[in-house]
Amino acid sequence: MRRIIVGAVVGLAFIVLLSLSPSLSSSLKIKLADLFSPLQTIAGNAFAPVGIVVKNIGRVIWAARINPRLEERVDYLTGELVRLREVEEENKALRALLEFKRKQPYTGVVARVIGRDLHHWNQSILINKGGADGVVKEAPVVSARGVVGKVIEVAPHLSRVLLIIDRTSGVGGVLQGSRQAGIVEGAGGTCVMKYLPRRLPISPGKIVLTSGLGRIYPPGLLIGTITSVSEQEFGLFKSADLEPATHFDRLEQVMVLQ
Amino acid sequence: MSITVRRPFHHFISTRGRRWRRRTILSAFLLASVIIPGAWGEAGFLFDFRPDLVLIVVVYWALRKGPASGWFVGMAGGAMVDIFSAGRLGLHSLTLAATGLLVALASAPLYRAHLTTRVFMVAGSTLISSLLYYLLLVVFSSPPPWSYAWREAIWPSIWQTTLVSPLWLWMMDRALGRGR
Repeated sequence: MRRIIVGAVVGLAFIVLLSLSPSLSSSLKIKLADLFSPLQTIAGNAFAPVGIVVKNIGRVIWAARINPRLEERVDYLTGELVRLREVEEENKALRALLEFKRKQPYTGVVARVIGRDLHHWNQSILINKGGADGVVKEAPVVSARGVVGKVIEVAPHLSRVLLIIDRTSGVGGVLQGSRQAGIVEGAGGTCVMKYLPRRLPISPGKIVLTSGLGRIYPPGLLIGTITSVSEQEFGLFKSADLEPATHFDRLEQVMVLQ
Repeated sequence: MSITVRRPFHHFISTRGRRWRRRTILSAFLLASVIIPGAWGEAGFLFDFRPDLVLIVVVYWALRKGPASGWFVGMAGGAMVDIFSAGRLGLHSLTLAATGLLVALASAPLYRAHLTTRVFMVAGSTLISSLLYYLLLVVFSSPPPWSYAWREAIWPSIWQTTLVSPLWLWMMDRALGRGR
C-alpha cells in the first residue's frame, strides 16, 4: 500500500513538473542552481590550473608551427593598416559632414564562466553574474572574439547563457560586403547560416556579422566565418556552414551587454 | 551448521548507521557527478568531454539495491541534472528514473558482476537512457533530427560515459564496499 502511494505521488510530481510552463520551469531551475553556485565556482577553480598547463603546452607547439605564417601576415597587415588609416580619415570627414553622432560603445557586465551544460543535448554555460548585477533575460553575451549567445535564465548571482552553437539558437546574420541577411542556427559545435538566396555567389572565408534584426543582438558583432557552402540545384535558398569566431572551449570571461 | 565470522571492532556499527553512511556517500557521489563535469570545462580541452556520471551512479545503485531504489536514485539524480542543464525540467528525472528501474529489473542478479560486465551495462544503459530522452523530447518538446541527435548527443555520450565508468564504478566500490 505504501509503495502504491509513493508511486502515485512520484507520478503526480512528474506530471506537474512536465506541465510547468517553460518560463516557470526555467526560473525555478536557475534559482535552485544558484544555491549550488559556490560549489560550482570552487570546482571550476580546482580545474583551472589543469587547463592552464595543457593550454601552455599546446600554445608552444602551435606558436612554433604558426610563426613563419604570422611573419608574412604581419607584413601584409602593415600595408593594410596604412591603407585603413587613410580610409578612417576619410570616414571621419564624412561623418562630420553628415553630422552623424558617434555611436556609444556597448556597456555591459563582465562575467566569469563557472560551468557548462552537463549533457550533449544542450549547449549552454553558467556565468557568475545574475539579476543582482544587472543581467536580464535575453541579454546578448559576447566575448573578445565575437558573439557567444544570449541569457536564458537569470538568478540573483548566476545566469545561464544559451550558446549560438545550440540547435535551438537562432541569430540574425549578414554577410560582410554583400549585406545579404540570413539566419545563423546552431549545429552542435558549429553553426549553419540558412535562408541565403540560391543564386547568391558565396565563397568560404566570408565574414558573418549580426544583422540586428532579431532585436536581441546589436548589429555588427562578429559571428564567424563561412567554411563551406552547400549549393542547391532547386529551391529558393541555400545554406552555408559557419565556424564561430568565439572559441567555446577556451571561454573564460564574457560580457553581458546591457 | 553455522559459521561464526569475527569482525574488526569498527565493523560494529548499527544497521541504521551503516544505511545513513551509505546514503550520505551516495548523495556526495550524485552531487560530485553534477558539479565536476559542469566545472571541468574550465580546463578548456575537456569542454566537449561530458560523460554522464550521474547515470553511472544510478546504474551502480540500481544493480546493487534493486528496482525501487534504482527508480528513486534515478529520479533524484535526474532532478539534479535537470537543474544544471538547459533542457526542460523533469525530462532528465523521468529518463534516469526509468533507466534505473529498467537496469535493476533486467540485471539485478549481476550486482556483484565483474567490473568489465558492469562497464558494458553502463554503455547499454547510456544508449537506453539517450533513446528514452529522445522519445520524451518528441512528446514534450521539439526534438532535433535523428542524425543530429545520434552524431552530436547519443554517440558522444555513450563512448565518453563508458570510458569514464571503470574509474567511477571503482571509486564507488571503494567508498561503499561491495555488499548489498
